[in-house]
Amino acid sequence: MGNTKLCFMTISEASGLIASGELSPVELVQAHLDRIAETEPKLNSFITLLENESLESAREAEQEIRKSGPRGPLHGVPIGLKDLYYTKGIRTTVGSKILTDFVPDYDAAVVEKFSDVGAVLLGKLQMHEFAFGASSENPHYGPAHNPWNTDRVTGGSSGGSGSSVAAGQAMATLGSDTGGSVRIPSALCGIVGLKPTYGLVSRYGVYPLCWSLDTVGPMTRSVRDAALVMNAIAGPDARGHSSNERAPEDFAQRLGRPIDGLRIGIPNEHYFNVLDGEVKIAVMAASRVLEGMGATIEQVSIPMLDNVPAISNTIMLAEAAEVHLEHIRDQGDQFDPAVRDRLEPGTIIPAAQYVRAQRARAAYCEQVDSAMATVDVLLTPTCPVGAPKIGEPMVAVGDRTEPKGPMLSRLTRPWNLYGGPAISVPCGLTSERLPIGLQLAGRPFEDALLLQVADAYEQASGWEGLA
Amino acid sequence: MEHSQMTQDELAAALRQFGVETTEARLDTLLPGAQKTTEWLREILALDVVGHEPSIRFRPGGR
Repeated sequence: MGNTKLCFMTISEASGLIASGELSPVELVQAHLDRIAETEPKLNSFITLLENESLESAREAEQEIRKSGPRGPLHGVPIGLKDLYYTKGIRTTVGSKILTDFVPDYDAAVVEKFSDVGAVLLGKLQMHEFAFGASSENPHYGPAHNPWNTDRVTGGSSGGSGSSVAAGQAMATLGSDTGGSVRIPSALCGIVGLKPTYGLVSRYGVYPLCWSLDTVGPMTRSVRDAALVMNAIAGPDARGHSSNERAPEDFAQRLGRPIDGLRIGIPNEHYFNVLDGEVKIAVMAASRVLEGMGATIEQVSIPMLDNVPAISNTIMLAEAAEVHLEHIRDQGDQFDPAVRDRLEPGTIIPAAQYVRAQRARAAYCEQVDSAMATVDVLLTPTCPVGAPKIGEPMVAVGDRTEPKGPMLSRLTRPWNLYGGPAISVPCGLTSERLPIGLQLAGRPFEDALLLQVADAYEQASGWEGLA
Repeated sequence: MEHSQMTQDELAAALRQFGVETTEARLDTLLPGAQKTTEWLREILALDVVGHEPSIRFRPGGR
């Protein structure tokens, strides 16, 4: 098998070959390092590449697998981490100049979990500074480039996590998602990205953006691979302040089951009024595919969807500004000016406004609960447009021109505010050959059901990535 | 109810509470963002939140 072909296998395929002894973890990791060497000059996915360390881990995995078999499907599999996960002894910049020399003295909970299952860490990935932006245009480490068209953004804030998976540099990565930062780059780079239910994956050792919205999530080339990564990283953690106490489940348990009889809702509000025409066509075609598989499609109403930007911006900005108070006061000139200019006004949001926003959030969640009582999942676009150009602050959507960041996140934020799971799955290309993402959202803790529907669509769609 | 737009002086005073000193040019840059937060407040105040406490769903042990 050619080296490049190894880089575009799914984890499911590779783990079978590793278990049968047909594929060595060293061969697999070396193929990915070769792929990185070939593509990185154009993509800039990595902030820190761990070439020697990853080969050493692969050798250890190979020896152990020969001796006693694989620990599980991720044993010997090369993965990458957004550069906001604490890694003991490995610098963690959070995409910033301020933390450019920060070396944590402990591992994040998810890093421990990846280590437990024998995954091989290739490196730390490019991101928008402090995860506070949706494009991954980073003045300190350079922009992440979209593998489908390197003049375009990857989306963000987990941009390197998106580009590396799409380009065959890593088999899976972790992003973090506060307003769409897993799903936006997944949509724009043509891969699968899951924002799990809030609290399902520990945030211990994850540099915060906004505690009440931050979520850890996998980015992969298939829905099944996302489920496998979830099996490795989810579960209670007493150290994680938002960690839920539920026992871990098998997130792959429903994959492959028929979806006939499931009810899929399409919101009347917010989602289809500011949208590129090609995106709308692709998403509605996806709904017909699901309908053809026996699901029923119906309209649902969630009037407060239109208030989500005001509510979630208030919460996110107030919390993010508090996270960075000392940075703003003492090292303001070291921020990306665009990040600083958006962050600093958060310091002056009154406490009463923040609390009122959290009350409004509760009212909004009640409306979504009501809608979710009549359907199993909701179906929407992930982003209103294909990947915008690097360096352009505005983006055209239909007959409007809007600021790029708010436009990219306007369709993903509602599910951070709600707290339930949401996933982006590729559903086509624009006429400029830029990927389009289908977003499916579910009830809290029904992540496995959401993965079932996403997998069913993926199997039917015939999507082929960049390989 | 009328909500006046934040002025440069008010913004400077608010930032000073956190030890953040600013120049006039910097205040010019920040003022639109600060005024945006006031627009969000106006929108949020118009929402019916009667009977709703700040969400506990997202705390450990919550739903």
